[in-house]
Amino acid sequence: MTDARALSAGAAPWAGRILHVDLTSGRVETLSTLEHARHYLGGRGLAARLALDLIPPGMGPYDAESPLFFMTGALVGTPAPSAGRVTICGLSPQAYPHEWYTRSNLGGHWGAELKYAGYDGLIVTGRAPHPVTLHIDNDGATLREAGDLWGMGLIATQARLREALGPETRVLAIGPAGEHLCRYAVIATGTESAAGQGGFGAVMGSKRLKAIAVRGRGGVAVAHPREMLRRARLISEAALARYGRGMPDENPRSDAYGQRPAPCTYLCPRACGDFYQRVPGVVHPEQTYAGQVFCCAPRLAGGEWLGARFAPEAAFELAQMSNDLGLNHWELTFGLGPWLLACQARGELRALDGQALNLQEPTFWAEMMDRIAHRRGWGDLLAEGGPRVADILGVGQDLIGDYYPAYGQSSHWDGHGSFPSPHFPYWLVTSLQWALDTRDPIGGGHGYTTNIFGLVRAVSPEDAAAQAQLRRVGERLYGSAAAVDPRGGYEGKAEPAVRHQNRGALKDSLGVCDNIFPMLTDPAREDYLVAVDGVEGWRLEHHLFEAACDWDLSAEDLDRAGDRIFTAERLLAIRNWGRDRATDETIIAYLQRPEGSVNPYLGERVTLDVEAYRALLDACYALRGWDPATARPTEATLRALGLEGWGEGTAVAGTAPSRRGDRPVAPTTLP
Amino acid sequence: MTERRRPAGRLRAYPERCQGCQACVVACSLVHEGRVEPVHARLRVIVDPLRAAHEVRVCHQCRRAPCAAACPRGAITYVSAAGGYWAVDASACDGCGLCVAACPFHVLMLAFDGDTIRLCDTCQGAPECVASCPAGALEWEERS
Repeated sequence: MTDARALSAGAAPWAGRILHVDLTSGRVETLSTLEHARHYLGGRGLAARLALDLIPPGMGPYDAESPLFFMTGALVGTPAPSAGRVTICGLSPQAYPHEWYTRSNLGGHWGAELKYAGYDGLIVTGRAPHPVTLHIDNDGATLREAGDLWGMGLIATQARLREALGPETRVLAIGPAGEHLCRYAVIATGTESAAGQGGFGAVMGSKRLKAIAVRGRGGVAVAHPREMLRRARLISEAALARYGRGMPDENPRSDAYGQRPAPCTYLCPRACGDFYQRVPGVVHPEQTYAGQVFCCAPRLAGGEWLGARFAPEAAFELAQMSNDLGLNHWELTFGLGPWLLACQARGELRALDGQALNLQEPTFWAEMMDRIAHRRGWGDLLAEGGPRVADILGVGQDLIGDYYPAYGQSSHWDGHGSFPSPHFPYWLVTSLQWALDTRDPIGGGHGYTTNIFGLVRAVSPEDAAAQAQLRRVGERLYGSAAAVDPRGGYEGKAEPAVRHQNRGALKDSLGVCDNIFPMLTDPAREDYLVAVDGVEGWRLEHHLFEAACDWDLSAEDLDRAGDRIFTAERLLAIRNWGRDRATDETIIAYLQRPEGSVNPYLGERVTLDVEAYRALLDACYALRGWDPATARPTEATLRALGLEGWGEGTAVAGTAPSRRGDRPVAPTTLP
Repeated sequence: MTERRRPAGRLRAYPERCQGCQACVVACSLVHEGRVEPVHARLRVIVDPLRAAHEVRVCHQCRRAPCAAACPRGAITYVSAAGGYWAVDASACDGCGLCVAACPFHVLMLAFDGDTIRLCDTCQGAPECVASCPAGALEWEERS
């Protein structure tokens, strides 16, 4: 094996080691990153490869040995714009019906700090005998008792640790929701940078790990420092020119509230969130709140689905309360909330334990979130997440499919349900990504919707020249004019689905943000196509990578790595949970509901043609080299991707579905 | 008392514009150390993610530099090239830390291994930190 230190000191951006901390024994050891870095890069990719070794069939998220991965992308710590991202993954309490392996992703400064401390990632196994915090620096890792922090909010926990350890300490933490094993508890840093989907906060809570504090005093090598800096700057400027700064819509902007643009991620030029330094409370008028707001939080202000709209201040307050409790408000806003309302509208579930569900009132939301995060009273039930609540109560099970496309996660860029965007035919692409994935496919989904749907919306349907140019963009990016054409229907949708799915895996493994990469289109350019430094959009991630790393890896090699990583995740799903085509087709029932918005070119809501959709699935499998009957990679595909051997023994038909889920074993208070 | 000098310019920080992204710190360490090593950057941005109020510490290239005055070995000297700037002679520095204590702006840092200090050399009048900032929070101000 290559010597890690020699390599790290040379011309590649890896620290060379992954830290493994076992909380049961307190044992700390390291693994080599470099054994797998060439094929799996970092972040999500390395985690997928290690998960094949560390997650055997039958393991559940709350088993002591269940690993929780915190993996930095390969470019994290280098000057690459937005390269601060960390993939957190493992067995997911939120996933439904199987608590299977999936991933989440967050920004902040924690990942870069971990790299400067000398580690590319962290794997936590075991369960501490009492609440602990984990402290990592260049001298190694130590566990400290954290009884005084247990029960504390996520924000206060970070403030306390920064105060104790210095202002340059970076902290990941859980709130009460994680401690009490709410199935949609987050792990977060700052106020709203969270690994939101998956419920990994509950896994961390089950391990009695309250927080991970990191201070790094080392560095990261870059193969060509000056060239790296030059390319990073050009791409950073291009991203600012393309996307602008701050959130484009919906956020209440007010100087009085101390609003300022604030990036969630290390080295992000865009600052696509806004930070408000002082917003008066509505539920608690005596308080003021500070925090960051991205796309999700403003939607707590309600809208049509709620039958009410809260003041922006109330939505902000609820978002910050949710952040402090460590709850994933995507589930509350797009899943559980709308489902509860739909049940109410049908005359079911008017009250829980005799208490009326008054979802039109911010004060009720505040109480509900607090109950959920502490599993207090009826909050214990709602902490299970929409699909399991329906199963447990035997109420509104048929309504779950209106809001949850698949796998226990609520609507997200699929054109239906509570997130009715994009319109047909663009949701064909994102829904195909849902079909093959283990969660909402947001990395790949953002890549496609930002670049293509964003471009289409910027162009007039009456502008014939622009329409012709859209078709040329389709040809250039996906080899098919129909792939981008608003009237393209079912034609040419498999290629972008798979291409962006693989790019999502690559991006999550390099540690860059899907609100910047891939940067493919720009309505302000004549040909609508981005090129920076003479390099086309698809190759910009590689343009950065080759300046950071002098290993001989081409842009095509990186694309193949994305494919390999996605396929490795599929192999795990087949081996441990019997993933098959029927599971991939779960989403079809959801898509047969009316789409949520109208394609202005067609003037109607399009109904799914199931046969045509199945043909698109066939095309996705063909592009991936998977058998369309079984949705499994063929032996030839596995050989081509260097995954030989992992396809064998994949007949294991996984664990029984966990609809209710075993009640977790961790105590919620100190022993 | 160190002789009064006239460095060509100085960095000026506008913390209210700073987004806390650290691009300046990363660029500074990369060009000076050949690696990204934020603790060795010649400026610091102390990010408060809970308030979005960030502290930006930059070398002011003082005319009468307290760091140079404090150094018992004369390791901090005025270089007249590129319009003039203060610089460290690493071979003369023994890491005593007196300059660190003397800096009124808390910018100077001892290397992590405790041997020499790192001092902003203004990149000879073309500071990389300024070029890297996406938010206009750092400016290079030439002295007239």
